[in-house]
Order: sequence, then structure tokens, then C-alpha cells
Amino acid sequence: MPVALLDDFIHVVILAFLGSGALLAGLVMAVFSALLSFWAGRVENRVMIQVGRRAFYATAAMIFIASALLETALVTHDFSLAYVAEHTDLSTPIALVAAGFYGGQEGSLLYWALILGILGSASLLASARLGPRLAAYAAGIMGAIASFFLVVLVMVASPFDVLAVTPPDGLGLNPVLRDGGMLIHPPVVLAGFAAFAIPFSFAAAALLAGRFDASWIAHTRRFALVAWGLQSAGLLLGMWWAYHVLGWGGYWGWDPVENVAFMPWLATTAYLHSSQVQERRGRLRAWNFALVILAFLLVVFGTFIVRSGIVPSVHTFAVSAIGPWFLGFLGLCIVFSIGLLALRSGGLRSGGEAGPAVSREGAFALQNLLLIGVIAVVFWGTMLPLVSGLVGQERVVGVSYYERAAGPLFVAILALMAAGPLIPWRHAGAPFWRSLVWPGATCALVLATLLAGGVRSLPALYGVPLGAAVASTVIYEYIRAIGRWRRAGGGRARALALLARRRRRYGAYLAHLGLAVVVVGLAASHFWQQERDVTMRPGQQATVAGYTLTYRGSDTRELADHSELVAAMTLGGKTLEPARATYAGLGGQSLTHVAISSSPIADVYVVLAGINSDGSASFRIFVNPLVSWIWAGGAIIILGVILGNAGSRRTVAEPVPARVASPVGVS
Amino acid sequence: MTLIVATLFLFAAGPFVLWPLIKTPDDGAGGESR
Repeated sequence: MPVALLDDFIHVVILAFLGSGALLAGLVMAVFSALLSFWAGRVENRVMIQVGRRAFYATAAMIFIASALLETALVTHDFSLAYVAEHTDLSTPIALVAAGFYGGQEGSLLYWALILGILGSASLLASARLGPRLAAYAAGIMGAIASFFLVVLVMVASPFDVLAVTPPDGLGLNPVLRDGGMLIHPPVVLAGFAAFAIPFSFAAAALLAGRFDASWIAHTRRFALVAWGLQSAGLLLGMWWAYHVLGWGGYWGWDPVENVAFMPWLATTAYLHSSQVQERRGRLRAWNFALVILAFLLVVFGTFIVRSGIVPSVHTFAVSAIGPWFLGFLGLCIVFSIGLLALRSGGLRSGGEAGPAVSREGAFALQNLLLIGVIAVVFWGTMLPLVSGLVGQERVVGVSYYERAAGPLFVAILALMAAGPLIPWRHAGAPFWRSLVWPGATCALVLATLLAGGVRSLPALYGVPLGAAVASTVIYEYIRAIGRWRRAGGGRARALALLARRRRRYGAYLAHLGLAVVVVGLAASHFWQQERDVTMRPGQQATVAGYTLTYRGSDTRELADHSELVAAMTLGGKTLEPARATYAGLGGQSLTHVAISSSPIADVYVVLAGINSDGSASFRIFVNPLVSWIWAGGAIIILGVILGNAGSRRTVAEPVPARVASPVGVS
Repeated sequence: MTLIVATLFLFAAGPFVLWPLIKTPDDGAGGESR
């Protein structure tokens, strides 16, 4: 059929050749941008620096074109492309087909490069004021990172490979991924990772240029905060997804892939705090460089672990052959970063005098050490199977290892979160010790209430009162701020202006409050979860933790891409429908569909184990207290990030003035 | 074919990327015109 052949030809030409052509052009442009920027920065040739920066923008444009072409191929079901045929099929809902863009290996790399291109370009737009050399080196490093991703996309994992024979339908998405969570969790997590390439690039550029002041921190503050916000949202969305889809009643299993996403978040959290010490007090310079580098290395390490499949994980659908490439890239990044730090170690000595231990900067330093401790615990727990396998018998650690090793560190971090915002910079005097009464009293009150209520779980007795103490500190700070605004007069407009001026502080406090709510939700749902296996005939009842469920009967439903065996239950006035889905088109793969009745007090979480031949049905029923607090806390954290980022930018934070009569810290 | 398409893309991006060089007056030419 000549018309059909022509149609096929046009499709292949337009999508495959345009797509792979755009990627190749992007690679050439990225390499050009990197080499030119490094050279032009070195000789401080301003015209060539601009050309190098524009080459990076052009790289971003090529990546964008390739991404748009891949998305077009997906939504038009162009199965001539291997990527489209492997990750989608005709029965998959169109939103999930569109999500196939980042659902597979090649697409997720392209998505990573796309975020790097967009955020990298945004960060370079106003970079000239940092000085020509630093801006040029930053463009060079981003160009180099983009070059790596484009090399992999062009040579090893192209999303535009064409199949010899176009199949009539594709293989479709893994059933676990056929969920609303697929639309939001992976792109947010990946964007959070990719976004951290921006602070890394400017930090490395500042080191290369010998600029050790805080200007790179101020310039990339917003990107670091966005990266942290995206990583936080990504982790919580992943937990939400696991909770709603996997059907084991929990949301976090210390799986290697969860761990490698958690570690960069910990490092970014540490950096967001320690960077303030450099901005305000001129200290911790080398530490900040090291933390940013560590966070980025952990991102690359995480991508390597996920993509190589070197450590066994539940995320097995992501395994592929690009592991060695990422290992090589990780090695290069480590050598480059450590070499750079060693080279500049002489000039990195911090200015300013050493502060006393009980001060805001002291609290930040201690918090940083504790977070590094958690990273170490998680890192070795994740790597143990690999390391022990190399030296003898493979060993694996379980949940209790993480709880016992990281638990005390988390308790200390929570205590610091409760006290830290009240500690002044430089030196804590009597007013600080008096202000500790609030979180202290809240902590004691909640602890006494729990003990009186018969709670004896030690982790819960630490977690919940300290979470409440963190919240009380934040509320105390807000009340103090409102008092100040009232005294200053000027009404609501002036109060809002003051809030906008101090948005970083009050945004951060809101994030603290969100984290406190998350902690209380985690502690309650983890330590007070109740679980029961029941088998019921239609009309029979079962009671778990005071919740009575009645089984009504079962039914079979046929949907577009799967069939469902549904069991209907009633809980009060609500109907719950736990189900088991079977995907005939995917070799009869089966998946449980959990039914959840959610309230601020507790979730009733029902999993259908099976329908028996005698008409009875078997269920596993969980009652999970305060789980919805975790998601609500997540929303508060994101609000805090938005508040902290809103409005016009301020380039440099106000340094803390030295007190002439200060009795401490004179060196 | 991919190579041809890539070349076309690079060609199309040329004016944008090279604009700083195009708009900056050439020092040598400026000297001659005096």
C-alpha cells in the first residue's frame, strides 16, 4: 500500500529522525558550550562567554524539541518507535500514555536533561552579575553535565530507536505504574534531583574561579530551595503512592531505591541550614562546598543504583544497561570534586571569629553532623548487600537496623528543631533559656498525656512529644511576630510587608511546622498500627480497633485494560470496595486495589486477599492512626517553600553585625 | 539521515548562538574605517 508506506515513512522521518537529530545537535551544542565556556572564562573573553551561554540555551532548546517529539510519538501511538511500543499500548488511558515520557529508562534520562536545560538556562540568565569567570564556568559545568546525558541518550539509550517491523499494539505499562501516582511522583522526584545540578554547578564554578564568598549561595538559593521542595514532595508522593497501591499497609520500607532518594534530601536539608551560616557569619565555607558536592554526588549515585539494578529492590522495572555509564560519570564527578576541593583548600579557610557552641550557628553545625550521621546509616544499610557480597556471604539489613541506628539521630534532630529557631545568632543569653519554656512545657505535657494513656512504645514517646515541641516553637515564633507587627502599627498592609521581608524565615518555620505534623503522623501510624486477617461470608461483620466492617458480597467488572474482582464492604455509612485486578493483556498479571476510608483520626485500610469457593472472602484489615497527617504535613511543607520563595529576590542576606561589647568569640 | 537533521538544527541555531559575535564591531574593521 503506497499510501500506508508513505504514512509510515513520514512518521519515521518526522519523529525518529527529527528526534535523534535534535539530540545529536544538542550533544554537539552542549560540548561546544562546555569547552567554549571554560576557555572563555579562563581568558575572560566577554563576547565568547556570551556565545558559550547562548550555546547552552540552544542545547536546552534541542532537548525541548526532542522531548516534544517523543511526547507526540507517545500520544499518537507511533509504535514504530521501540520506546513507544515498549512502554504504552492502545488500552492504556491517554494521561498514562503521556506519562510514558518519563516512565521508561530512555525517556526518564531525556526528562532529566530537559529539567537541567530549563533550570540551567534560568540560572544562567542573571548570572553575569556574579562576574564573567564564575558565570562562564557555571555554564561550562552545566554544559558538561548535559553532554553526559546527551552522550548516553545518543549512543546507549536513545528513545528514538526504530523497530524493524511496526507492531499493531505496544506492550503497555507495568500494572503497578498504571495509577494516578505515576502522573506526579516520578516527574517530581526526577525534577528534584535534576534541579540540584544548578547549585552544584555554581559551587564548582566558584571553586574553579577562586571565588569563596557567598555570592554563589545567594544566586542559587532559590534553586536549592526548589530542589529541596521538589525532593520533599517527591518522597511524600512516593510514600502516598506506595501506601495506596502496594497493599501492605505501610508507606516506607527502607528499600534501596527509597534510600537513595532519601539521602540527597538529607544532604540538601543540611545545606539549606549551613548555607545560612556562611551568609550571616562568613563561616563554614568549605563545608558548604562539600555539602553541595555531596548532595549532587548522592543524586548521581542514586541514579546509578536505580538504573544498574546492582542492589536488589522493588523498583526492578527500572533496571538497564546504562549502569556502567553512570558509574563512570559518578567516578568522574568524585575525582573532579575532590580534586577541586583539595586544590582550593588553602583559600577556603572561613573568615569571622569562632562562635560559641550555644548559638544559631552552633545548632546548625550540630544539625548538619546529625544529618550526615543519618546519611551514613542509610548509605551503609543500602550498600551492605553489595559490600558483604564482595568479601564473602551477602548480608541484608532490615527495618529494625534503620530504626535502631537512625532513630536516636532523628530524636536529636527533632530536639534541635524545637530549640534551634529560638537560639539567636552569635550568642545565646538568658532570653533564649527562658523561651525554651514553651517547647519544653509542650513536650512534657504531651509526654505526660501519652504515659497516662498507657503508651509504652519508646519511639512513640520520643517522636510525638518532640514533634509537638517543634510545632509549639513555630507557633511561639509566629505569635511573637504578630506581637511585633501589632506594636509597629500600620495595620494589615504593614504586617504583610514585614512578612514578605522576612519570608525566608517564616517560610522556613512553616516547613518546620509541616515536618512536625509529618513526624507525628509517622510516629502514630507506625507505632499504633493495628492489623487483622479475617474471612467473612456476605452479611458477616468484623471489628478492628473499634471500626466495624460488614461484608456485602463480591462482583466482577470489566474495564478497558483489566478486569476486577470487587468485594463490597460497608463501614458506617460508607462503602469500601477492595479489589483484585487482572491484566489479561499483560500475561494475566494481577494487582491488588486497596480500599481506604480516610479521616484525620485514622485510616481503615482493607486489602482483598481472595474470594473463596464457598462464597466467603478473605481480607487483611489495617487501622492506621493519623496517616492523613503525613500528607497534610507535606502540603504545609510545600506551602512553606512557596512562601519562602515568593516575591522578588534579594541577593545577599543581612550579615549579623558584630557586637562591640560581645564577651565571647574574640580571637 | 540523523546527521543531516542534526546539521540542519545546528545551522538554524547558528544566528542565535553567534549573535554576540555578529553584533560586536570587529576591532580590525573599525581601525581600517578611520
